[in-house]
Amino acid sequence: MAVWCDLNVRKQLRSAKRVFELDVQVRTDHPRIAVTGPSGIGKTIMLRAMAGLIRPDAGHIRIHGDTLYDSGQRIDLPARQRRMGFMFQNYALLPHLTALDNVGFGLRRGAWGFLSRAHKAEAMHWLERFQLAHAAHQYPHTLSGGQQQRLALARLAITKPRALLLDEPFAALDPDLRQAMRLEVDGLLHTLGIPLLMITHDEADRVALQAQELRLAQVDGKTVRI
Amino acid sequence: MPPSLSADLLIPLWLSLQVAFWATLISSVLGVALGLYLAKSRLWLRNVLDTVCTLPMVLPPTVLGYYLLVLFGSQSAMGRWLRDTLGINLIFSINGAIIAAAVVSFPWVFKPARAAFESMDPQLEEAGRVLGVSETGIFLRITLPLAVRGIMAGVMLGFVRALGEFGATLMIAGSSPGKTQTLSIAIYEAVQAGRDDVANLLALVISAVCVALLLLATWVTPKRRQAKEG
Repeated sequence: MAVWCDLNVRKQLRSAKRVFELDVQVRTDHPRIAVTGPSGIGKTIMLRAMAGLIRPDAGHIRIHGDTLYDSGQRIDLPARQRRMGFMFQNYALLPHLTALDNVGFGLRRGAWGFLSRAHKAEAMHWLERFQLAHAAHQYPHTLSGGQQQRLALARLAITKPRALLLDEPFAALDPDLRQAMRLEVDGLLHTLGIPLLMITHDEADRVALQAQELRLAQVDGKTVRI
Repeated sequence: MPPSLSADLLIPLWLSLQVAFWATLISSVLGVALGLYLAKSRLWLRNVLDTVCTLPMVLPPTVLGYYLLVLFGSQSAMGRWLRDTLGINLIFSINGAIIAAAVVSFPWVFKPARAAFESMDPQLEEAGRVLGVSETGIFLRITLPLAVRGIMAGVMLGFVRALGEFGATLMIAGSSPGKTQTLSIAIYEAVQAGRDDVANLLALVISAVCVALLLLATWVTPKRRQAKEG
């Protein structure tokens, strides 16, 4: 894979207690990256910046050569145009919609807000791919943790993202479920042919997904890559 | 004088329902918009705005009515402009009663609306953005559906409050039978005139309507979705 991820994100963060700076540069052709480092140093901020949910102070974000953000050129694509497959830690499934409607949420709607038959079939296809066909008409809170995560993956997959961004995806799962979900993610990356960037604290995640480690740490109050 | 069903009950009741309907419509549209704005805004002014808009809940209705008179009376610039340019007269008219009831019911709508918008997990809206949905789509398909029960409960409370409005209405719209004499004002007039049978009937009817509406409000109040563990 050619260089798919070329980013330089600078952001000053002010929380109630402290001010710290994030200044991370990544340029890689390795299709699977595992971001590691202590808690609270801004790993999630980096992913959110890539997805377009927060704006860096300066820098650039290029994925597969497409510029999503560049402070110098004043480019800042809104999140909805970035097609970054960002999965939230708690999955952010929509509680008022069924599994089928959650999966179809990112598809274009007709004038009356309904999914076309083709789109419905596509949503069904992805539910089947993640062994959720039987739960198509169930609401997210009736699903198990593993099912919720598969639903969140299906909902991203259907939008054909440029890359998959996972924020500690397996930490909340039972240990015996973790390996199954790692394989699930591995299979999805193969199917879609897209790269992965995930935050993790678990060496086993990195090994199972054959990811390259990208370690962040804080040096003089500044979060940098080491 | 024996009570007449039509003049003593139906006409004031119909008037009350009309006033409450239009007042709630006005306060709902403005209240939901303000609730949404206050829930999303980071402006320091938002708390000042919230306080000012909550005032009708705590001020004596007569004071409110007096403010409305000062603001919209024929002596004021606003009142003259409304009358001369738009041909709308608020004083001693049903329009005045509607404005008074709208102002009084406004906080009952916007407070629950703000709370409903604020209690929402912002990540749900972010999830919509990541999935490529437009801001309008996110509002219509995520924000509004998740807040709708809270909003409806507020609208119901606002309607009940508008229906029972007395003080501010009397100040600005007066009590002219068939024109501005709503049910709650008609009760006052009946007691003043010593017509206890009419007062009894009206009091019973308005109590029944309010109980029914409150039951409806409890019914649409948000029930917490049970999040399943693991």
